[in-house]
This record gives sequence, structure tokens and C-alpha cells, in this order.
Amino acid sequence: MSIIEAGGLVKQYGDVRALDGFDLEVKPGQIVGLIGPNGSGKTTALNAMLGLNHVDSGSLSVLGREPMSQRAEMMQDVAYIADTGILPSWMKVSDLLNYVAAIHPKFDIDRAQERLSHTEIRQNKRVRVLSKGMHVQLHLAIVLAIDAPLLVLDEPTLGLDILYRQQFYDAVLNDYFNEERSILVTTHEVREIENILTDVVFIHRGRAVLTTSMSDIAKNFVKLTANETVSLPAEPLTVRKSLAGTEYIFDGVSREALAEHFAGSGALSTPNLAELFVAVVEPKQGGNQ
Amino acid sequence: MNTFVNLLKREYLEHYGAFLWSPVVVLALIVIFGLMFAGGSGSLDFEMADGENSSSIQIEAEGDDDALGRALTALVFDVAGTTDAELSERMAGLMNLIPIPFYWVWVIVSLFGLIACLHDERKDRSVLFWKSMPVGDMQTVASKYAFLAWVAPMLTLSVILVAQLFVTFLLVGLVEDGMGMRLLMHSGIVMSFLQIFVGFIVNGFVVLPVFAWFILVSGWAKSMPMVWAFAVPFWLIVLESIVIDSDRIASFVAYHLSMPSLPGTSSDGEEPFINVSVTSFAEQLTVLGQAQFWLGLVIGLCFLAGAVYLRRVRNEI
Repeated sequence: MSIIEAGGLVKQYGDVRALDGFDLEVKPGQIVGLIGPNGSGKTTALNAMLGLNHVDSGSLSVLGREPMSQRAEMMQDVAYIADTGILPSWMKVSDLLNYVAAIHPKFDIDRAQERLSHTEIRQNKRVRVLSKGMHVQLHLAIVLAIDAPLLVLDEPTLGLDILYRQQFYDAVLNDYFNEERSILVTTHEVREIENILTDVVFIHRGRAVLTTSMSDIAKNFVKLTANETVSLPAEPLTVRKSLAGTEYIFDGVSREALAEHFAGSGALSTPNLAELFVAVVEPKQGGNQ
Repeated sequence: MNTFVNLLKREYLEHYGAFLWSPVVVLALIVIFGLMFAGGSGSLDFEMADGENSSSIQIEAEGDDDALGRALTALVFDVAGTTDAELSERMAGLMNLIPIPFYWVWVIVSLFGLIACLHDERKDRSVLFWKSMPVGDMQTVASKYAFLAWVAPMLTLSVILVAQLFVTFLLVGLVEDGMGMRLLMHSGIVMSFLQIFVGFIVNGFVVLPVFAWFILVSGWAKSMPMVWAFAVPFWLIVLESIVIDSDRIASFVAYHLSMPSLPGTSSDGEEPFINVSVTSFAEQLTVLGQAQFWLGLVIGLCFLAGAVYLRRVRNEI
């Protein structure tokens, strides 16, 4: 069974089509990165999946439930961390843990306390006095103690310094993820999550413009860096001038064919997600000479 | 049900400071004035007008033994010279006078709690955390209402009890020698406690349209929810009085804030001293037979339904 199944989601805000036929499928064992710039529909899509916003049309099911009408039930199985500190600032850490323990049937307070004992967060402190980094640590401690098959991370490391960022993803991978669970993550910092994703969805103007597994990226996309103008065996998706020379990104052209064609006059590699995003979203950028 | 109790606990954690300390301030004022009264000395002139006869009474008190409070108490209560029934009535009047400032403090603190309840969580985005918990919006809104309407008054009630005990024992010390025990026996403090308890339970339904209106505005307003909560009914009242020259909205609001089920004391009327406005449990429940009460319930439930809808769809300011 799929964890998330979204088909043809449409959401209109006045003149703006925030979602324009958005599709997404997340299966157990996947870590899916939802990549897109601000205004791409990322947040709208995420909010729809979390039961925070209605969509105008399309079908949406998260763990077999309709998020908006069955949010309370659904959230027993979904954990969520947002881009800014959303924990209630007036609460004491201990009260917060006790509240979640009382309200959430799948929360293990001992686990959360154990994790907190390795941090500098004291349980008699109020959330408002915690630093941004500690706030995220606390939220992470709560979320990782919830036995939920789906974890949704919305720009979770925004504003964190580099040390916390690394720890954050390490903790998620080591203490949450397994083949029965899934993670859906959005971020601006594509590089930060590139190596932990199993799958990626590029969202642009409310549509999923590319849905692929990370392993298929290496199979299907090739970047050629050449330092002189070369004749191309196929039409590239995009051409970009960089310090290293001219970079061409090809879709569906075999690596062997390219290697043979260029025979040493260019270097072949797999494009990273940022390069691929630009190539997919704005093909032919820089012209094709 | 268990979830609901835990939600009430959550509300308690958020609000108990305000609901405990605000009546404690009133209590402190009562204690300060009470002690000043008991220990004060000086002189007072009374002009008593009773129909055509008017008489002047002058009280002078000096020193500890003849404190003014003691002299006044003896004059007003005259425990030795009253029957048991008279004494009970006077004490009931006093016991029902004491809670009145506490009622209003509770209303004011509640209005602040209500107007913040769905607004502040959107403002600081903690609504995203609350919504990431497996709790429905209806339960959430209901718990916020139930806390402010029924749980918070119990904190007020406890402080009222302390205030009543204080005043009672102060009087026991002030009345004529040997009459303290008699006063205590007829203080009616237990009855008053029970009546205020019942009164608050019923009142929790009476205030529904007003309280639910505040929750609705709290869930709706992008900014200045308190201003909206007052401005909309204010202009409706003005409009009504201009267009159809009536005051139905104003009297509706006044009725639902008048706490008709709570024992209180009014000083109007013919009686020389004080009237106890609610004297029996049956009287407290008369609101249940009033059309205004039921109309208020219906309107209040509509407002709450609107608030639940807004809680579902609004996550931001």
C-alpha cells in the first residue's frame, strides 16, 4: 500500500493556481524530496497532505485516509516538523512531553526523554527560552519518539547552523527511518539532502515536472562538461557556461554513446539535483549553440 | 473522553495563572480593606433617612478597644438584637455580595482568554504543532470553551470561598462579645458555596452566545480580534437603534452577561439594606425556562460551529 497517493491535485488562490494537477506517490521505504522554489506549490501540496488545507479537486489519500476530514485519525500515523519553531512557547518542556504522552497513543515519552538527556535542554525550561537549535532538537526528540509510518519535514533545518543540520539528518536516518517507513522532505538546501533521498519530485508551477528515483537519475541523465564547442550527438536539455567550461545536460542519452562520441574531449558525470532542477524546469536556458 | 480531559488539562496549564492570580488580587484587596476596617479608628456621621423621619447618628471610635469597625459592626449587625432568621438573611446578603467582583474579574479574564484562543496559535504558528497531534478541531474548540466556561470558574469559586471565610471570621471577631459563634452558625457559607457552584454550571450555558462569539472572532480575525469582537456588536446595536428603534441586541448581550443564575446581591428596591437576588436553587434554574436562554444556546452553538470550521481551514494570520 502506498503511504501517500495524490492524483491531479488542483488548488486555486484567486488568479494563482498553486496546484495544477499535482501527482505524488510515496511508498514505504522511500525518502522523497519535494524540490521546488518558493511559490512552486510545495507548501500548498504539503498542507493538503497534512490535512491543513482543502484542495479544489483531485484525489488525495494519506495512509488510506482523507487528510482534511480524517486529520485527527491520520495524525496518529504522521509526524511532522515545520520550517519554523512551532512548539507552544508558553509551555514547559516537561508539560509538553506529558501533553503529547497523554494525547498521542504512539508516543513513547521515555524515548523522548532519553534523547533529551543527551542535549542541553532542561525539562523545567519553557519552550520560549530555547534557542532555535534547541527548539528543533526538542521537536525532533518528540517526533522520533512517535511510532508513525510517515514523517513530513518542511524545511526542517531552516535557520540552523551547520552542526545542528548534520545532526538532524543523522538522527532522522538512524533513529527513525527503516524500510517500512517513509519520509517526505522539502528544502531549499538541496545539497543537504541529496545523498539521503531515495526519490525526488520536482515541483514547478503546481505540477510535478519530474518524478524519479535517485538511481534512475544516474541512469537517465548525464552531464557533459566540455571546454570547447563540440558537435552534439543529441539535443541537450540545457546548456550552461561555467568556470569549468560548457555544461550540457542530456536526458535519455546513453553514457556509452556520449563517451564514444567525445572520446576524451569532455568529462561525463551525473548532474546534481540543483543542476537537474534547472535543466528540467527551464530547458534550453542559455540557448543551444 | 480521555482526550477531552487531557485537552482541559492543556487549557488549565495555559490559563491557570490568569484565573488564579486575578481573583487573588481581589481577595487581597478585600483582606486589606477588611483589616483597615477592623483596625480603623475615627469618627463617622450617618444621615439616615427613613421616610419623613431623619436622624443623625454619630459614631466615634478611638483606640484599639473601640475600633470603628467594631462599633459599626455592632450597629449594623446587632447580633444580640436580631432573630436567627434575620441574622441568616443578613449574612446571606453579605455572602452574596462578596462574589460579585470575582464574577466580573472572571468574565474579563475569560474574554481575554477567549479572544486569544484561536488567534494566538495562528499568530505564533503553534497551531501547526497542535494540528500535528491526533486531536480533532471540534474537540479542541469544545475544550477551550468548556475550560473557560466551567473549569476556570472553579478556581474563582475557591478564591471566593477564601474571601467569604475571611469576612466571616473577621465579623466573628468584630461582633459583640459572645455573639461570634452565633454569627458563624448563621453565616450560610456552605449554602453560598453550593449556590455559586450551581450558578457557575448554569452560567456556563448562559454565556454561550457571548463566549462563542469571541471564539469565532478569535478564529476569524487576522489582527486586533478584541476590537472586532466589540466593534461588530456595537455597530449592530447602533444600527438597530437607528433603523428599527429597538434594543434587542443590546438587551440580548446584557442578559447573557448578567449572570442571572449566580447568587448576587443588589442594593436597589425598597429594603433598607440589601436584597439577595437569588435565594434558592430553584431560582437559579429559572433561566432554563426563559426563551432568551434557549435562543442564546442556539446562536452560541452556531458560533461554535463556525469557530470549528475556521479552526479546520485557517492556519495562518
